[in-house]
Amino acid sequence: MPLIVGTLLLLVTAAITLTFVRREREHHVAAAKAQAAVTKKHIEVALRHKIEVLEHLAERWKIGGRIPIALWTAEVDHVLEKMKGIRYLTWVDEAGIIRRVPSAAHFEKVKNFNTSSDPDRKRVFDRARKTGAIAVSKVTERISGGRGFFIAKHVFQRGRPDGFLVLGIETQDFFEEVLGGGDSVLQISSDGKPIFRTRLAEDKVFDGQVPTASIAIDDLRMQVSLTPDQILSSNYSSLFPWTVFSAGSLLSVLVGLLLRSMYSVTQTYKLASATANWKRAIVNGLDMGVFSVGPDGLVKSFNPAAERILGYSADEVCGSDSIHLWLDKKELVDFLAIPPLNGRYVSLIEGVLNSEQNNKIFDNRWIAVRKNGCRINIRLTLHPVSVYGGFKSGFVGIVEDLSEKIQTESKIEAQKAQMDAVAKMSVLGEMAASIAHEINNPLTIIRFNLDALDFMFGYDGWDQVRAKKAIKGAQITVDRVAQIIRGLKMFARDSTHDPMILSDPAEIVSDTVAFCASKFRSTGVTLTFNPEALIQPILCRPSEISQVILNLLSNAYDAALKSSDKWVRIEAKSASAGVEVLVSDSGPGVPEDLHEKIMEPFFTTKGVGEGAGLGLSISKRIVETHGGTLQISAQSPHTTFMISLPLASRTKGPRGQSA
Amino acid sequence: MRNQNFELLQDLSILVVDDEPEIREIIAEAFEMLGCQTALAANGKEAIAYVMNNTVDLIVSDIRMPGGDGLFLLKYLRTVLFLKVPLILVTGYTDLSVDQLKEMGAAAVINKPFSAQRLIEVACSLPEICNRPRYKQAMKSEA
Repeated sequence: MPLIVGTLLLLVTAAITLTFVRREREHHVAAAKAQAAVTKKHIEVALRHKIEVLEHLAERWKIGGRIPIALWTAEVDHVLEKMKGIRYLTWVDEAGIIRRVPSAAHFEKVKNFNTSSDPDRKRVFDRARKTGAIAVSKVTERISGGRGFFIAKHVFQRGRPDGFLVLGIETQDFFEEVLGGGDSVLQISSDGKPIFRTRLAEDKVFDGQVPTASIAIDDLRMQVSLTPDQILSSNYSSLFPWTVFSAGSLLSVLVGLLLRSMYSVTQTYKLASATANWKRAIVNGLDMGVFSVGPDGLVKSFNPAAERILGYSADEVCGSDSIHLWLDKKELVDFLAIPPLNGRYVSLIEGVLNSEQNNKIFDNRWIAVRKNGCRINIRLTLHPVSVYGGFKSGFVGIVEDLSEKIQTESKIEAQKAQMDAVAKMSVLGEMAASIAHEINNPLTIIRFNLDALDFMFGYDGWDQVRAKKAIKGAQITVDRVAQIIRGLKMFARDSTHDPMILSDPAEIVSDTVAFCASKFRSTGVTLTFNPEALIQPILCRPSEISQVILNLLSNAYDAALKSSDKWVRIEAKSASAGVEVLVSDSGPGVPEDLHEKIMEPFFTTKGVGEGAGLGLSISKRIVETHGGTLQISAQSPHTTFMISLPLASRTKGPRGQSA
Repeated sequence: MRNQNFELLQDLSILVVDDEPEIREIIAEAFEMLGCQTALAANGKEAIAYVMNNTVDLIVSDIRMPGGDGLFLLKYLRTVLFLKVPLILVTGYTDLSVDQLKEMGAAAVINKPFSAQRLIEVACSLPEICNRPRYKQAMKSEA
């Protein structure tokens, strides 16, 4: 754009300059024309002068001017001397023979020369005789050298024609006399041939375009030509057009540069304002409070979200050091470990401004005091803003309201716990029927033993051995019921806040197996449990581990039911890193691509209403809180879940020893 | 148990079917104390095998058992073997009501937990047991 304007201006300048040049040239041409006319006039005047001299001499001749001859000669000599350009004055008789030349200097060469042999001369003489007036010849090459023309006058003596007086004129001398030294560039030509040039015009070319003035007297034909070009370069030429051109070019370049800089300034301004608008839109649209603080520690901006979170309006806080209005002072003092200086807590700001770092340097949970005095949890982040050269021009603070987040987090935590409980209870529900059976059977046995004793009392069939056996049977069975109840209690209670206790993994497994054994037995699924002889105790919440085992058993049961040789096997053994409990079943196995997925919540292969798909995910979490892992073993030909639990000393779950 | 009726059961051949050995043993023991002969079976199939080769006066069976449950045994007896031998079903839980089970041919249904006394009372109250010809003969000969 600036380039185009610059070029246009340059073109306009050139056009103006050309117009000026043309006008100047026209002016010069006109001047040259005028000068040509003036020159012509000069020549004619000079010629008239010569003619008058000749006429005067002719009058003298008429009255016998030659006598006395001395006076005549003196007069002629005077004329020849005074009037430049006159080469000679001769007398030609009626026959055309040159008879006398008053000036002796040239006489020898032309004496008795018969002029009538030359038709041009003869014509001039004839005309002179016929008209009785002056006749002028054309310019010719002279026999005696040089170039010239002559003026002839028919003279009379005592009433008789007595030849002609002829005034020969040398063109070179004549024009030099007429034009003087002259500083004009002109050429005089005759019959198309140049016959005279001024000194300045010696090497110039005069073509048909130059201004010309023509002279025509009798046979004399002459043209005066002047070259305006030469006039231009001479004193008459003006510097004006070139001054205009130079000034115009300079102006064009300057305007171009100015426009260019203005243009780029405009573009930069547009870009900057667009960027600023972008930023403002982002900052105003953010859900997080954003404020900026200048190098003087005063708040410069405060976005709507910050207004909402902190309760102050932007007008209230901008221009003040109010960052300390909303930051809990006690915490600030604690954080900085220094008392306020002159009642102003400038240290944080100074600390940020003087920091060497250029990115986020302050990121903490903080307590903010809203305008209405209530305290909220925020996350405060301070980012120093450095400008060109590393000089810090302040910082931007970001305030995030954490109260909602904290609420949501706790809500999610609560929901998770609830979901765990529901999942656990649903497993318990599935187990309920078998548990009833599990308890009903021992009760029946106890009752039968008591009935036997009763019977023996009523009849004389008292048998010491049989009675003892009945009592023993009842006792054992009561213990068995107690174990089932213990397992059930262990499973059902909310154990998340239980302390970790040192327990024997084998015992936990057998307690768990006890209260679901009948479910397996009644459907013909063989459940075998082979604990290793010596398993080290682990630090755990037994009920949670029991829940995990029951979950795995429940899954294994469902899987085994579908197979032909129904069996479920539990193993417990010591491993290098702790204790491993393996639950395998005869089921069809889990496809390898699902190994990861089955641990995810709500993943289930069972139909609707048969399971929530939470068992494995909850089990995995429980095992992980114990610092262990739950994974599906890839090596085993059957589906084998492996619980790895670390030994007592190494157990450190996140929930830890809460008691 | 101090019921005179228990003599009704003397010399009866009783088959006890239960998957839990403790249960079937203690039931069998109770009957033995009253002078019955007892046989044990762990499930319906074993019970059917026994019934096909032996004379049985009364069957006491659990319902839920692996390898042929009580209902399978009942149906098999009634529809395949056409035996009318009385069958007492003993159960902790069931999807079927007592009436349904009786319709299917069960002589009686006892819910767990139960006492020996109740089992014997139910057994003695069965028409097949109390109207037993052998018992009547014995009574006559005594008289």
